[in-house]
Amino acid sequence: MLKLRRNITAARIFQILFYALGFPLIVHLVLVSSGPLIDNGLVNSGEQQLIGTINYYTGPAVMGIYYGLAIWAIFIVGQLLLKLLVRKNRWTRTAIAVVLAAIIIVGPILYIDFLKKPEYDQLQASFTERGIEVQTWGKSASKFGEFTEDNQADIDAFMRTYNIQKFNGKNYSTMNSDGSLSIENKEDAAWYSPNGMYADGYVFSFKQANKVLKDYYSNKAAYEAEGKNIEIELQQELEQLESNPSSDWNKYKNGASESSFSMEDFSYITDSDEYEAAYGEDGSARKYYLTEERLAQVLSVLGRELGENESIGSLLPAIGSFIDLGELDIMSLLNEDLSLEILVDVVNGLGLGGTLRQLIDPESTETEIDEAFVFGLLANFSSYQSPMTYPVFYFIEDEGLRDFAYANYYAKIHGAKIGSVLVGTGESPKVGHITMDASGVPAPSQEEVLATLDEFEAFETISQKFYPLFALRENLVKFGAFATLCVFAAYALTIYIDKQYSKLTLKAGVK
Amino acid sequence: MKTFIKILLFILGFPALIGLAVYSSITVFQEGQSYGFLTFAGVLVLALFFIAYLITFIVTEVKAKKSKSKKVAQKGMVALVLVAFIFTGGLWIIIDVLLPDILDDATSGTLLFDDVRENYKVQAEVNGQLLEDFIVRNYANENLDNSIALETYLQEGYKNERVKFLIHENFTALDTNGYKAFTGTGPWVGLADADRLTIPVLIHLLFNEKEIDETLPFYLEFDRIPKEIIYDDMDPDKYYYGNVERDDPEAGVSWSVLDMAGSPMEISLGGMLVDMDPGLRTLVLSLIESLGPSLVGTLRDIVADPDVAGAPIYLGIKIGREDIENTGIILMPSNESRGVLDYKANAWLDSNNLLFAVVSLFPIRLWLYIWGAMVIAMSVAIGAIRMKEAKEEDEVQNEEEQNFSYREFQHTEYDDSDLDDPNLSPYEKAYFKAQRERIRKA
Repeated sequence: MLKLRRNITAARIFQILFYALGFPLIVHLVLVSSGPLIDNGLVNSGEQQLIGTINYYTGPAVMGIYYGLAIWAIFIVGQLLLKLLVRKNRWTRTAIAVVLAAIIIVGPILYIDFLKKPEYDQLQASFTERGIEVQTWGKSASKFGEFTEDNQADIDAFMRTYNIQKFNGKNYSTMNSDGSLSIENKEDAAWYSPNGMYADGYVFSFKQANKVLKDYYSNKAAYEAEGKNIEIELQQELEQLESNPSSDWNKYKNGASESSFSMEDFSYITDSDEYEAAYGEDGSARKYYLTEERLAQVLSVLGRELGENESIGSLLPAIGSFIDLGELDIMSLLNEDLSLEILVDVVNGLGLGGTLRQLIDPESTETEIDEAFVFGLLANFSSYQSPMTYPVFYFIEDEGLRDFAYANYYAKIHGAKIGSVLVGTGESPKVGHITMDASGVPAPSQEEVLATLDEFEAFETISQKFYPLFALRENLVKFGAFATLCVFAAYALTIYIDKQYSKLTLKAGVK
Repeated sequence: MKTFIKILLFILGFPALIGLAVYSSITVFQEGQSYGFLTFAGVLVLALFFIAYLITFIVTEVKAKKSKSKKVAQKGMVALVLVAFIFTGGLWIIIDVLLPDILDDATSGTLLFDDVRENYKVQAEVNGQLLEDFIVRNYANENLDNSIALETYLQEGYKNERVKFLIHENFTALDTNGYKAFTGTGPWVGLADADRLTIPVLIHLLFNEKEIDETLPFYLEFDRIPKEIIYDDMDPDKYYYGNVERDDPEAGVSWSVLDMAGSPMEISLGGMLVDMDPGLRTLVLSLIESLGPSLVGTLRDIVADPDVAGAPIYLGIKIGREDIENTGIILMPSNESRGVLDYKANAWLDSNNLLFAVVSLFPIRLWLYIWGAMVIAMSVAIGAIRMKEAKEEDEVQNEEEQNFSYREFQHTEYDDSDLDDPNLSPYEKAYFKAQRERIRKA
């Protein structure tokens, strides 16, 4: 009797053990295999939810785990049904359960191998056509974890280069300078102002940095293929929009009625006065950059204070010994009437205009500077695109050119603002972290950038669609037979336990 | 003997936990002592938990003793173990879900749960240091009466009325006309703070029109102006001219973006000077020393003009006498002269009493988690002893009764009441029943 009891206890322990080694083990192993996928931004969009100290994950990368759980759930439902339907014959029940286990293990493998593989091959072919290399089905199915980790390293390197800290971007304030509010678009991983542009304090997400670079370089390359320079084309287009009084841009600025626009579905953000409200006298945007008036004020203070300083007078002869000042009396200029006009005259009077022009544009043949030139220099640093008005590029008709214009603005001007320059300028262009005390890193070439973007795109498409399935498939393949065996063992032990019980004879009244 | 062991086990449970938690909290107590009872918030919570446990312990003990039955002792054990779990790890699992958000809100995201979780000692020291720095600065600019010794102020800390007044009133000015005015015009301070101070960000910070409450007073008795030229071998205290009495000690002040970060910015000129011909270098340095103060003074006036930045940024020239490389232009914020800390530090200081209350929870939390297992184990052990006590008394009293019932039972022949045993599976029950049925029929 005691021995029987002991046998039953041992059998029960093994029964539970074998059950755990079946489907629960497979689900756990799929979870382990999905680890790199969950951590990868492109597979899982950097999605991680937090409730207090508890982390949980959502997104495509966890799908493999859910499929695993679903398979297990199907088995459980099958077991319950069997218990109801096949009441007497235990061996029949065992046989059916084992067959069910085998089917729900082999079925998904066959489904993936025969129905999903052609899809993969088709995608692979379409990428190969575009000159983008994608690993074969066989390699991906076995080395997806390694590929995902390699890709994550590339993502990290990209983010370091362009000084992007958060995969899903960060907005430093939901309120723009002019008080307008920005809205988050989770799917784009971006924060937008009312005019559809990035919010003032938005630092690119990985996705948006990719999009800007793609819009910039792919359109540039497309124009190059046609023997055109997109930057010159853009400049001409913008000049045309500015100078043509009947251009949509000028109509927009003047608040013309919507029916006079050539654009379909055009609508003002607030009303037809919005441009005037932002850039007119006392406009909402004018407070936020160095306007002509503001510069005049600063120069006036500068003139007054320097004029009142006596040491300046004693310093001037020293300067005169380095630069030929001619008949110029600097002290007489230093008063509160000092203005940009006077400064421009002084520079031109000293014959320095040409030198300055050539500093900015080595091909310039002009010998004098004017106020517009000075403002051109300052514009990059102190212009303010009102979040409540459309920029001029909104009115460019050609889609490619328009995308390029926006990308150009985001990459160079917005990027310079937030310290994440995406496209460098000048002789030895720099990108990334360019601030008061950091000078960025050398910019990768157009070809390098496009190649990297292609890789990211191919990886994202393939990995989101197939890698979670591979995580499941890998473990179903490796442990499918083992799990089926364990299911059988668990059932067989049940029968054994029942048999042991039937051996228990009972003496009446004995507990 | 059993009572002694029970007491010993009890002490090894919750009282030991209290001891460990208090020991870990000593730094927090020391740093926050001038903030009064809020510093002891953590210990108060712990005391409440202990009382709950103690009451359960006493009630179950008395009940077990009175009834002398094993069943009552068993129930008491279960109750004690459950209470032990709830008031150690159990409640904290729930609090841990809620606390990070509360902390995030309370500190506007400047103090994160995970940063303090195991780091409470350092955090307490940092927060304690803030008060000390504040007092030292306000003593140097004579906002605190210099006829009283600095040590006295340091000892009194937050209990000193003038210190408390300055902390809160002057922070209001820094907050409203500084930080809020800057953040009111967009993301620029945030970007500057996140190591993204680009030229456009700087221009926005300098030129954006801000909303300023000019009626807001700033309490400052003396102006403390840094010298235009300082030397790298100088004692930092000597960077300043003597304190000059302000016309109106309650006049409002304006803030520059440098005051938010609170630390000086240096633009090094050392590299340029090192490469220079020694004769020329001497000439340049002597020229700086003779003309510097006047020129720098003019530049300071220009920056402080309401038409330019509108707030004082103390430009200065640092001359490297010890190391020529140290030469450069230095931009000093006005925090030190005005006796405030940088914005974040000052914001913490402003709510330091609450922060100490929060920080004081962390050592308690940690030990409740760790020692929770011990408290539960001790509760089980105590329960086992109680059951043993009850059993011994049971055996003496009930022996006869048991024999009697056994004899009775044999007369009843077939009694199926044993099949109510919850340890039997439905299968076993059915099997036993059928088996007996068969024997009876035979």
